[in-house]
Parts: sequence; structure tokens; C-alpha cells
Amino acid sequence: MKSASCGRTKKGDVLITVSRIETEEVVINIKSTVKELYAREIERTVREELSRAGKTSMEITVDDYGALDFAIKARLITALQRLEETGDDKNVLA
Amino acid sequence: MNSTDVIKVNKVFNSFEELFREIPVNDGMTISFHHHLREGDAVMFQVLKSIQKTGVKGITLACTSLMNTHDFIADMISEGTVSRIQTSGLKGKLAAMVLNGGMQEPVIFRSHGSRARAVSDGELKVDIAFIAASAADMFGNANAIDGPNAFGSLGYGVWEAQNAKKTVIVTDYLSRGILRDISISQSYVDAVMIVPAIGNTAGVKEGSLKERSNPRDSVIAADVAKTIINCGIELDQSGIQMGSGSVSLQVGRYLSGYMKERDKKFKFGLGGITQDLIDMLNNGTFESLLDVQSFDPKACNSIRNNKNHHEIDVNTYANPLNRSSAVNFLDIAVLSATEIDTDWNVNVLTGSNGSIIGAIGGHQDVAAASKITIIAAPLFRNRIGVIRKKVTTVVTPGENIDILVTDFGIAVKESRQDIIKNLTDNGIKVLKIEDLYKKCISFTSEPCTVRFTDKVAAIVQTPDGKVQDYIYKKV
Amino acid sequence: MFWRSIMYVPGNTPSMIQSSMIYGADAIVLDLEDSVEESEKDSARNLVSCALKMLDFSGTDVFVRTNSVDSKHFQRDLRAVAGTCIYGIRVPKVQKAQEIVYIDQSITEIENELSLPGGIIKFMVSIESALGVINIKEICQASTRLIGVAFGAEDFTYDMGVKRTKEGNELAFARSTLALTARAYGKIAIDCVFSDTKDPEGLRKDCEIARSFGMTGKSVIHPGQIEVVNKSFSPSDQEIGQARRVIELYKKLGCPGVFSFEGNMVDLPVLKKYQRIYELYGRDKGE
Repeated sequence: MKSASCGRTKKGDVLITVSRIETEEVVINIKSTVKELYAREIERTVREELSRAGKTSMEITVDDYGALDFAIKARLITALQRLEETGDDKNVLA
Repeated sequence: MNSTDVIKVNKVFNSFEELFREIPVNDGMTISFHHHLREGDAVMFQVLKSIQKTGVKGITLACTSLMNTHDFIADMISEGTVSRIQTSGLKGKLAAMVLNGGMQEPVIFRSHGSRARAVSDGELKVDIAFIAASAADMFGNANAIDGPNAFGSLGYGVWEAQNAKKTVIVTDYLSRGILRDISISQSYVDAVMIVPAIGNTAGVKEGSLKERSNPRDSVIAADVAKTIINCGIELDQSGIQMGSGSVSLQVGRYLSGYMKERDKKFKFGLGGITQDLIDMLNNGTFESLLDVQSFDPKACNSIRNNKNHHEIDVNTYANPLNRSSAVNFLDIAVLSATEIDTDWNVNVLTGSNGSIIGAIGGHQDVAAASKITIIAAPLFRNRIGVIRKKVTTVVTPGENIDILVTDFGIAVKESRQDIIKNLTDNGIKVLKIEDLYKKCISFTSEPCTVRFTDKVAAIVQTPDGKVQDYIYKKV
Repeated sequence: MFWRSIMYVPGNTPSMIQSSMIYGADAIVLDLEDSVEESEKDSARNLVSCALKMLDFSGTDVFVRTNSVDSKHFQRDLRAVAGTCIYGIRVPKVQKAQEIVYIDQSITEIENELSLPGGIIKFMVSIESALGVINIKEICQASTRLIGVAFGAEDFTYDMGVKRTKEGNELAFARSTLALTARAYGKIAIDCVFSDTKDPEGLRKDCEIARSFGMTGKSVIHPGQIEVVNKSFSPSDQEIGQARRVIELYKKLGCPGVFSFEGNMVDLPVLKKYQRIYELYGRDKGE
């Protein structure tokens, strides 16, 4: 699977799409109803989780509608799990 | 429309061409409109389009407020018909235009009371007031309770008519006989302009009133009611302004039950009058209503038939130069906010990202005068925290605010130890605003500061005409 | 552990989770089961897990409703929430004592794995079928970690092939059996959801019925139901006032074994009832 996503484009939620890329970098695209105020924080949450999960070659697209940190983190975790979807049963939550 | 061919009418006009021959609009004039029809207003469009056709430029538009329906004015600014705006609020395309540098001159924001003062002390000299009325007669008398598009109180229009150099009533209903109920007397009126329709009264309910309630509002409303009941003010024979919107509606219902149980009555309800308030007048919770703006066309019958439903003008409502203004008799006020800071300053005009999203309305006037002022707001809206270290724009200064009720707790200003004691003695938990701020950012995290230029897009006045704050153009 | 109102919160909706603690429910249940479609079970699980770790739920007790033990999600659900601030889990559609044993063992395993204090994660089960009702005695006896049973009327009436009505006669036996058996084995019994969120009077009547059978709380699906349910399952102001006076007199008399209160004899069993009310309601309660 090339990419996977999780979440909803509704108030208080976020749709996160993750895909593997060739280069060794993390590219984050953020679209948010609160971009001016919280884009920095959204990016920080995404980078932190990717770092914790050991992901270094990813493109993440965030389509945010005012989701709080816990929701952004959870949707990202699920999207990454779905991408992994190889029948691996190990739970990737800390 | 009942125009007659038999009697010669010389104050009544059917075309803007004829009207402008009699009452010319010249370059640079100040013209005014009220916003009683809110999102349903069609008068401003018809009048301004006609003015635009004459080629006149540089008009100062002094409205009591502006809404989304007035987006068309943005084009008129671009091509020079309108060059200055004075208002209580802005929305939509106009607001965006102002912030992006589309206007040369800064917009002046005033509260309703401040505008009444500006008109009386001469700061705002209106050349022509175009006043929408739902009914007029051939002598020039006007009201807003008769006619097919009746909208209730003409509170903002009355004071305009009494102070403008020239007054034009704009109506779609010319009464055959002299009006029985007269809000604006013929002696203030220079012309009556007949148009096909003044607007759509369904729009009166829109434009700041959210009827959809969400469960968080119920939590806030329950706590606002509890606060009002226990703050130490004797509610029997008190005066209250509750605002409108789903929290206010629910607060009204709680208080109604409380007052009825104890056989108490509010002496008066003030501000924007909703159907709920009229019901409470009818069931005896309120002895009287002082109506400066009706939020429901059903108010018309109440104003007409119920002597305790008083139509008041904006001077009587909140003019700071008027010692007898109604706000001076308020005991309790419930107001909203886009932001509030840890110094208790309140913003009701701009959002945290710097956009103009609301109106001052009567906020500053009511907060300054009421014995107790309560701000009711959720802790955060779609991640945007309501409590901040500093508000983006100071509209109402902290010295006039006493209590903040959110869905996550109640805070009372330190200097109001009397309120803190009364609430705590009644088992209500009172927090410091700093604690509520910490709670807020525990959800939202600290926001970035939005960057502005140093170019002033708008001036926010105090009720007495000084500068409260500036709104800057965005980067 | 005495919950009058227990509010279900859909586990895949962030906006509802983040405000669930403000409504005054005695407990909330973050739901991974019926309110979450199959394709979103993983989303909800992660969302609830992150919520439990990153939001402040103080002021209410939190349960998580896992999927049933025979679903492929149960173990993952449990794993995702163990070690967080939850009071326990609620397991739906339980029918047999062996499921109880399985649940208890699963929780014990996780507690050991995560080095949690033994027994810290409690659980409740929902009885939602005829077989579940019949087996209630064995179910209640099967584990000390089990703290209570909840009644699920929708699935129960479906299983029975009967119509669900507001009057609820079709539920009487099940409610009574569950309440009776739970009480006998020291568990709490929580009544079913009343689905009409716009009928407070109907809700109040339903609560009265449940209370009369001995149930001590009710599941709710909307914040608007909480006030009615809390009131219904609380003693009345009169009862609270009376309890307060009894305890004050008891203390004043120097804690005798039996005494007279307003013409009635109060011995230990009677005193205990008043004490329970006093502990929960009669002491300084900030509303």
C-alpha cells in the first residue's frame, strides 16, 4: 500500500494521510482552520510521533479542523498502522 | 402599497431620481442606515446602488452595523463611491477588505451607545439618514410594526431621524391614513421613498443568533443561571440584559422557573428582544421590556398591544451622555466574547487570527454600567482558546467585567470579593482566571501570535469617543 | 463505587470525548463497540487511548466499553487502555461465566505485563440476552474483579423477539433478576439506556421502575439525560435531611447501639442505611 489515512474532515477532527517516500526526510503538509495559531504545534505533534515510531521517510498530509493534540496523534498513529498493514499484530502504541 | 391618485402627495417619492433632485447627495457626504433588518436588509443595497449611479464619490457610510448581506459595498469602495465606514460591526467580504488594506481611511467602530453620543455631541454629523421603516404615511410618520415587512422596534432609526440634517424614510408600505403608532414623527422626516421591498424579515433572526444549541451551551447556561441567582443581587425588581443566542435562551428559561417559584419579577429586560423574552413578559417573569432592537418579527404585536413592551431609542438605551439611559439601571448583564485575557479585558470584535468577525453592539455600554457583568463563553471554540494572556483587540476593558462562566468552570475577578464570597457560600466553586487560562491551554496548547503590520485598519472607540484600541492590517 | 448516571461517549468522535467530563455524569464510558463501525475500530481504539493519556478526566470515573470477548478486537482494546486513568472496562454481550473468567485472566495478564498494581483494573459486563439473564448467578460468582452488571435492553428484546416499549413490562423479569442477583453477590446493577432523549418525563418514570427493582444507576446516551437520572437515583432532599438529623442525633447520644429517632427505633441495620445516604449526600456537598 502506498498511502493510508485516518480521520474525518469534521469540526474537532483531522484527516491525516501518510505515505512512504524515497528520500530520507519527513515532509509535512498542513492545511488547518487554525493554521495561523496552531500549525507550529500540529507539526511538532506529528514530528514527535514519527520520531517515536522511528519513521524517517514519510510524507504526511494534515487536513485539520481544529483537532486537539490527542486526536492528531491518534489519527496519525492509526494511519501509520494502516500503512503497515501486513498482518502484523503487534500493537504500536507506547 | 396604498398610494392614492386623488390626494396630492409632495413628500412621497417613487423614484430615486426624483428623490435626489429634492434631496441631493453630494461628494463626501455622510449618510447613515440602521441594521434592524439584519441579514434580511435590502434598503442599503437599493439606496447605495442608486447613489452610485449618480456618480457621486467619497461617501462616508455611517451604519449602526454591517452584515454579510452588505458584501456588495466592497466593490463600491474599490471604485470610490464609498470611502469611509463607521459602524458597530463588520463581516464577510467587507471585513476581509478592510484588513487587507482595501480602504484608505480606517474604519471607526463604535458601540451603540457611543454612536448615540457621537451623533449628539457632533462628532458624527449625518447629512442624510436613510431609515428603513415597514410603514409610513404621506405626512412622513413612520413605524416598524405595521406593513408586510414589519420588524418591531425602530430604536436605532429614531435617534438618527432626530439628529440628521435630512431624513428619508424608506418603506414598501404607504399607509392610507395617518399611522396610529408613530415611532418617528413627521416633523423629523423630509421625504418618504417607496421601494418594492425593504427586505426579508426572516433575516431579522439571523446575524449573530445561533438557534442550534449544543450540549456545552447547556452547561454554560446552567452555571450562568446559578451565578446570577447566588451572586448577591436581589433579583426581585432588578433589571437584566441577557443577550440572545442559545446560552441566553436557556439562561432565561432557568431564571423564569426560579422567579416564578419565588413569586419574584424582573423590573425590566433590556437589549435585543427575542420571542422568549416576550413570552416571559406575558407570563409575568418580566414586568416590562425595553426594546431597542427586536430579534423576532412577532415583537410587532407585542409592541402594539402590550403597554409594558416599550420601544426605546438608542439614546434612551445607552448614550453615555444621558444620565437616564437604561443601561444605568441594569443590575445583571450577560455578554459574550471572542476572547478574554487574564486582565479581564474582553474582545468581541475580532478573532484570534486577527479577522473581524463580530460587532461591539451594546457590549461596552452595558458592561460599563451594569452592577454585575458576566461573560459567558466556552473555554475554547474549535481549538481556538477563548482565554488568552492578552486579547487581540481590547473592546471592553477589564475594569467593567466581573465574572467569566465557561463550560469548564467559573472565574470571578479578585477585586469582587463580595461576589466570590456569595458564590462560595452557596457551594459554587470559584476559580482564578489564571487557573482557567491554564486549563484552556492544557487543551489547546499555546497559540502562536499572529503578525500584523503597523498600518491601522480600524479604530475601536470607547463609549465617550476616545480610542480603546486599534485593529491593524494583516501581514 | 456508586454511580447514578453513566454516560456513553462515542469513541471515534474527538469533539465529544474532549468535552465528556463537563456534564456531571458520575461516570462515563468511552465506547469502542456499537457506536463505532467495523472499519473504524482501530481509529477509535487509538483515539480513546490517546485521550486517556493526554486529557484530564478528573471529576468523573472513566470506563471503556471494549468489543465483546469473541470479537477480534477485545484483546487489542484492553491492551490500548490498560495502565491509563480508567476505573475499568465494560464488556458487552456477556452470556456465560467462562467469559468472566477469560476477561479476568486477560486483565490479570496485562496488569502483570505492565507492572500495574494487581486488581487495579475493574470490569463490568452488559447482559443483553436471555442466556445472559439466566446465567447471571454464575456470572456474578465467577470473579471478584467483576464489580457490576449493566442491562442492555435493545439487544435483549431483539433476542427475545419482543417489542421494546416505554412502559417496559417486557423487561421486568430481566431487570429484577439482574438487580436481585447482583445485590446478592455484592455487585452493582445498572439499568438500560432510555433512547428517547426528548422525553424527560418518560425517562423519569423509567428510572423509578429501575430503582424500584433495586438498581442503583442507569446508562445514558445524552448529557441532557444526566440531571433526571442523577435526581432519580439520589435520595430526595427530605431523605437527605432526615439522614443528617439521624446521624447528628446518633453522634450527640454518644453512638448508642439502638436509639429512638422521631418515634422510630433505629438499630444497626437501619442506621447503616442512613449512614450510606449521609456519607454520599448529607455531608457538605457543593452543588
